[in-house]
Amino acid sequence: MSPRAFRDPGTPSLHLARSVPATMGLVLLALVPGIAAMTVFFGPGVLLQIALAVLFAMALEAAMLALRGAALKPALTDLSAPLTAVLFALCLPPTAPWWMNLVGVTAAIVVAKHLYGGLGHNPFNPAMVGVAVVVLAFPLEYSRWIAPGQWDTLAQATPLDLLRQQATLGYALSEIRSNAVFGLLGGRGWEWVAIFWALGGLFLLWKRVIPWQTPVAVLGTTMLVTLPFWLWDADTHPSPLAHLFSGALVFAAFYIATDPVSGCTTPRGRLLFGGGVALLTLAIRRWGGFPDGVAFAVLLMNAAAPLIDRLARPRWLGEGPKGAP
Amino acid sequence: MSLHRFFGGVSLPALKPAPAPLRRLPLPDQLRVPLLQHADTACEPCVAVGDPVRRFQRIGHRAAEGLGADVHAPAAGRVVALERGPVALPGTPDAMHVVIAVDAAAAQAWRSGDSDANDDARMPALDPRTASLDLLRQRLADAGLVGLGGAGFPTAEKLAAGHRLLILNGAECEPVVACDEALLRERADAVLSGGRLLARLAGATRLVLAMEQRMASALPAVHAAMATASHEATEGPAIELALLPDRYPAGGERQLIQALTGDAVPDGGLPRDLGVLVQNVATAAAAWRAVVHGEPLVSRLVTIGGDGVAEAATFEVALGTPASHLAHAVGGWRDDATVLRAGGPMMGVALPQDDVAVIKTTIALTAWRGDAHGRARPRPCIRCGDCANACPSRLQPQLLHARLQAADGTDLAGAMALGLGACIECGACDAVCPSAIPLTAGFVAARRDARLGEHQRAQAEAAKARFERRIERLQREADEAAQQQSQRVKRVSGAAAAALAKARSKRAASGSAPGAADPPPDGDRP
Repeated sequence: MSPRAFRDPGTPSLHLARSVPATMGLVLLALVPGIAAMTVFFGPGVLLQIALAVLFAMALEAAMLALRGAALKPALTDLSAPLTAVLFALCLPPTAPWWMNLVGVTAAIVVAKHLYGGLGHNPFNPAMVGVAVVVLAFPLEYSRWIAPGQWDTLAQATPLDLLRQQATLGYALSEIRSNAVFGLLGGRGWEWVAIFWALGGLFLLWKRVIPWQTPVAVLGTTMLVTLPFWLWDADTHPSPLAHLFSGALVFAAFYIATDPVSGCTTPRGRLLFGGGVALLTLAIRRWGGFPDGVAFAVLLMNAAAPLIDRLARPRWLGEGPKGAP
Repeated sequence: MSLHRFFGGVSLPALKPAPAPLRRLPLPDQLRVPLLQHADTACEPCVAVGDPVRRFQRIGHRAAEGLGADVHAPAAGRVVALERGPVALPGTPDAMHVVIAVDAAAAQAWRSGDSDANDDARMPALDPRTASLDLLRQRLADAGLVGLGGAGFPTAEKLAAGHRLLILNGAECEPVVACDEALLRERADAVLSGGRLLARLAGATRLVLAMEQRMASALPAVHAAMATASHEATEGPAIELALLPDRYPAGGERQLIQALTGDAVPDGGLPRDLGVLVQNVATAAAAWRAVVHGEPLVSRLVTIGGDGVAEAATFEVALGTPASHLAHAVGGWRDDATVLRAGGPMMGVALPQDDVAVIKTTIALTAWRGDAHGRARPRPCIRCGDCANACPSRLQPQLLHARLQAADGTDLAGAMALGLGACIECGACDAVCPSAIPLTAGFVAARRDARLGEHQRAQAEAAKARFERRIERLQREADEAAQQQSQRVKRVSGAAAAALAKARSKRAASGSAPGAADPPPDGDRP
C-alpha cells in the first residue's frame, strides 16, 4: 500500500478567532439601540441618511476596488464599508441634503480609505474624515439639527452650539440651561441617545469586540478634567455629565476612538489615545470654532497614534533594559 | 506552590482521549528507524543490510562532530534496508533509516508486555544512589536519551552541574496531546525517581513537577508517588507540585520558568543562565529505566488524535513505527483528513506522508480535516491587537507583521528591534487572528533570514578582521624594517664617530691634519 500524502497548511490547525466580518457585524448590531433612540427623537431622517450613506459607500467601495484591480468579493462582504457609512451618517443632521451625504462618504471611502491602500492601511478614521470634510465645507448646513421630538421644527442649534453662543454673550450656565434644548443631564434627547450608545458599547466590551482601555480613557479623562472646573465655578463651566451627555463623546468613546486600524494598538497606547481624544475634544469645545470637536480630536490623535504606540509598547518577556542591545 | 503571572496565551479546547489503561501498540512487520531523531547531527549506521539485530542493540552511533544521541533497535529482527526518507522533525529533513523486519517472536513478546532479558542487548543495571555522576551521565548518553518533550536535545549534554532548580515538565499544553498525562497516571513512580536522579546529576536543590490543572486523571497517582518518595527519600530535594492553568502555551519552557520563578529568560540567553533546567517527565522516566533496567530508549508514549481520526488514544509505541500503523489502530484516517502533524494542532510538524516514523520526539500524531477548522483566505491586518493579548512572550505581533509586510520591503532590523527574536513560534497569534493571517509562518521565515543575515554578517566581520590584521601586520613589518634601518644608521654613524674620534686622537698624538671622510654607509653591516 503506498503511503497517503498530506499537505502543510502553514498555520495551526485550530482557529478560534471571530472573523473580521463578524466583528464588524457585532459593531453594527451594537449601534441598533442608539439608532433607534435617535430615530425616536430626531425622526426617520436618521434612517434615511444611513440608507443613503450605505448605498453610496457600497457603490464607491466597488468602484474603488475595480479601479485598484482588487478582488471585489472579500472586501465588499467584510462589512467595513457599511460600518464606516453608518458611523458617518450618524454624525449628519437628519435633514442634511443628499449631496452633503455623498461628499462625506466620498471623502471617507475614496480618499481616507482606498487612496491610502484600503482596509487596514488607512492612518485616519474614514468616517471622521468624512465628517471633518462636511463640517469644513458646509458649516451652515451642518449646524442645523431638528429639535428633539419636534420633527417639523427645523434648524435648531444643537445644545453644544447654544452653550457656546450664549456663553460668549455672557449668559450664566444656569440661565442657558433653562432653554428647551437641555434636559436632565445634557441636551434633551441627546442624553437618551448617549445612554443607548453606552449600552451598545457595553455589549461590545462584553463580547470583547473593543478593548476596555479606549472608552475608559475617553470617558474617564472627560470626567476628571471637567470636574474641578465645574466645582470651582459651575456658572461658567458645564458639569462633567453635561459634557458627556451633550455631544458625541460617548458615541466616540465606544465606536470611533476604538477603530483599531487608525487608533493605537498597544494597551497603554490605547489609554493615551483615548485620553488625548477627550482632552482635544474638550479643548475644541472650549476654545475652538466648531460646535463639537470629536471628529477633529480623533483625526489629530490618529496622526499621533504610531508615535504613541512606539513609546507605549510593553516590554517583551526577557527584554533587556532600555538601551541595551 | 504559588505561581507567578502567566502572560497572554489562549484557552484551547482539550480534545484529549478519555483516560484509559495504557496499551502497547502491536509492532508493525517492519520498523523504519531514522538515524536522526534529535536536534543537530544524524547518527552513523553501525549495522549493514542482512545483519540480525537484537532488541536494544545499538544500530546508529552518534557522529564524531556535533550533537547527537545513539539509536538502538526497538525489537529483534533483521536489517532489510538502509534507505533515506523524511523525518518527523521541524522542516522534515531527509535522513537515513534502518529498516528492520521484526521477528515474530519479538512481536509476540512486545504484545504480551514482557521482554526476554536474556535475549536482548540491554546494559548492566546501575545503582542510581551509589554510581558516580560521570558513570550515570555516560549511561544516559549510551541509552540515546534526548528530551522527549519535543525539542530532542541530548539529555546528557544538558546535565552539567550548577543548576539550582530542576523543573519536570508534565504540562503538554497542546490540545489532543495526552502522553504525559498517561505517563504520570501509569508510571508516576518512575517519573519521580527519574526526576530525583536528574536533580542529582544537575546539582539541583529544588525539584518541581509541573502539571496542568486539567490533568486530573493523573493526580491520584502523582500524589501517591510523592508520598512514597517522601517516605523513601533520605537525601535530595523534596518534590514540589505545581498545577498550571489550562492555557496554551503554559508548558512552553520560557513560560513555565516565568510562571514558576517569576524570572524571564533573557534575550539570547538560556534557562541555564537562571540556574534552571527543564526536563520533560518522559525524559525522567526514560532516564530511570536506562539506569535501573539498563534499557536504551526504544519506545515512547504517543497520542493519536485530531478530527481526522475517529477516536483519540494514547499508546506505548516502538520507535520506527510508521504513522499509518498508529492510525490503523484507531480505525484509520478519515477520508477528509488533509493535514497530518507530528505533535499537536498548534506546533506540530506537518508531515508529507503517513509512512513517516514515530521518533524519540514524537509526542503525538494528529490528523486534521481540511475545512472543519479551515481558515478563510487572509485579509489585511486591522491592528485589533488580539494577537498581542494572546502572545505569551508579550510581543506585539501586529507591529511585527507590519514591519515584515511594509510596502517598501521587509524591515527585518525593525522587527528584531520589536522583539522578533523572543518569538517562541507557538502559533497563539494565528489562532486568534480575525483576519486569518499566517503570522507565525512569517515570523519563522523572518527569524531564519535574520539568522542567515547574522551568519553572513559574522563572516563579513571575520573577513574584515582578517583584513585589518593583515594591514596591521604589514604596517608593523614596515615599522620594524624602518626601525631596524634607523638603528643600523645610528649604529653606523656611531661607528663612524668612534673611528673619527680615534683618528682625531691619533692625529693629536701625531700632530698631522686628517682627511675627514665618512666611512661608506654599509661599511659596518653586522
